[in-house]
Amino acid sequence: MEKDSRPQSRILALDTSSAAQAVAVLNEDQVLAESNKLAERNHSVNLLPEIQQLLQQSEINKSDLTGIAVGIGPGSYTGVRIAVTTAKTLAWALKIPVVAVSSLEAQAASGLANTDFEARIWVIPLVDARRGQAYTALFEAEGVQAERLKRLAEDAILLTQDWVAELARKFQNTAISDRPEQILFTGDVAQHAEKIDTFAELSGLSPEKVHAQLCQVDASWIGKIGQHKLAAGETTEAHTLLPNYTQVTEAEANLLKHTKPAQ
Amino acid sequence: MNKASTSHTADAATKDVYILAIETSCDETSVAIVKNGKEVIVNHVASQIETHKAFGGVVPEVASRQHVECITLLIEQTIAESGLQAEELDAIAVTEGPGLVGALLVGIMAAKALAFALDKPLIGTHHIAGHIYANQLVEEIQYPAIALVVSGGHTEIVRLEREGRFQVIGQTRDDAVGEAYDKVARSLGFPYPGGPHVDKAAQASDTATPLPRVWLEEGSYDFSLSGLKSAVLNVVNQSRMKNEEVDSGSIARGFQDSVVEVLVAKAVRAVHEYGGKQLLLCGGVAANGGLRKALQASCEAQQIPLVIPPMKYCTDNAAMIGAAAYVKWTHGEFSDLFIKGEPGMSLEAWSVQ
Ligand SMILES: [Zn+2]
Repeated sequence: MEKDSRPQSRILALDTSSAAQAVAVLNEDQVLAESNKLAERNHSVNLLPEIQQLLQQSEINKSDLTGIAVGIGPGSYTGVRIAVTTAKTLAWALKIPVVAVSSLEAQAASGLANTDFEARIWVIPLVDARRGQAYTALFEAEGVQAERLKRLAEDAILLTQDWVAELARKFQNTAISDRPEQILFTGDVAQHAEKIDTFAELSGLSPEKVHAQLCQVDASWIGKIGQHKLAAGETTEAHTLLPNYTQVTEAEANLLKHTKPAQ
Repeated sequence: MNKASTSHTADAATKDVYILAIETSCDETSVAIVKNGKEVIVNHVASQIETHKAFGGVVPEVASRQHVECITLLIEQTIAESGLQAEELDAIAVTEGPGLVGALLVGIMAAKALAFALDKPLIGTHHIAGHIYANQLVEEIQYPAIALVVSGGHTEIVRLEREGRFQVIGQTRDDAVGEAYDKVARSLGFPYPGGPHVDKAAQASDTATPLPRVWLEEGSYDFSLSGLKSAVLNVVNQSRMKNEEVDSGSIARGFQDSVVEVLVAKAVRAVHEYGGKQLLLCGGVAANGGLRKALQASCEAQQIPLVIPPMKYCTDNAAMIGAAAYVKWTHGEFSDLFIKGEPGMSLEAWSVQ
């Protein structure tokens, strides 16, 4: 019955990388307050007031926070900067550690947590990036254990068409005993539904094994993943905390193209 | 009880006010601490000019990314060098607009987070009010005053009837002065940022290509620079078509003479019409040697006190934001945590109540 002497980990979790403004307060793995608002796309206006309200609601003083977990994207450039700037400034001013969480990992976990699969599964989060592209990654899980996602591919921006072909090859090249039983695409699945079907054809999996789960990033998953990273000491210095844009700006890309030395 | 309240008032009157200010409206990340709206304790400016030179102009996305990279580091350095504890600050000020919305957002989110974490009042501040109140960092502003604001994005004549009351009596109808300088510089083949090159070439030239002066309607304090810019392009193109060498010095001088003559005449006329006790020169184009000389000569001849802040307070900086925010502080006007970047923010609406 002796209580753990380690002080409890009370954190604030944030993500504004997508249309959802996601804020949560957690005590260990317990979510004390959470809001995932899709209504107004006005993260810069409402984020701080929302943080203030959820702290009040969970009866936690900001000075009692022991850490901040923030989704660093990829996603909307401006959107990601809103949460990241807020998180790094709060962490610096409150003198508490900050942990960077992949918004794609949290989105994959949010999608998976809403299912009831039992066997090995691949989870592929999608965030639409226009022109046939998506921010995406690949995770493996044993059933619905969303907190135990194993990363198989880094966050990247890819043409969905190329990505599903690569995923199908990867599936074919995996030993049969190691292959996942189910495939789950999460996030902006409607915009990429055709490509998800293409994946089923290319992989040879029957369409009933390929699933699509429409979802956003839930703040609670930023928080839960953040708690694990915090416990593992995987913190980032506030000054060096940056969004993961996954690509250079268009202007820089053009400049590189024009200044590339001749081979 | 009476006694306590008296001593509290006396206390408030003598207590120094320290405002930490943040400015990220364009391509400079800046954090400053200003005492009583007048004394700059620390003013840090992380300029991105070298980065944007490669692109031939400011790239908003690149600017926003760089703001995120250095914002908390600048806040830390500024507070550390001030010798103050963060808790001793009285308010957090930040540029709310106008500017590049993505760039403004970084400063605003940092300011809101800081104000919230430290339990300090927040003061969303108008960028042009900042340029005007940069003058307060060097000299006590005497009201009524007339401000001539000239920068990359702004060309305005502002009347300050009293402290914190802004009336825009004239503004550009098309290009800002800095913008016109950059475009002319490009057509003459000068590298970005071109303004200083045009100024230098103009001052070194003995001849001036004749170019029009755009006065607009009788009595107007507005400006229009696009016609002048087109006239410059015409001259350049005609020389090229005739296979003649482009006399960039003479064209630069002709352009600068035209711009300066109109700016100075309208600013001086505004001082007379509104009984201005001072003419305040504000904004990055205050670095222009031709403009300073002409303005100094004209003000001296007509006995108008002219104030020009040192260059470090004319280009974008956070100290000027702290100076302007102090005006709001003294009037007890603060912002809430809902503020956002206002790219087209009105200066007149930002006036104190
Ligand atoms: Zn400016």
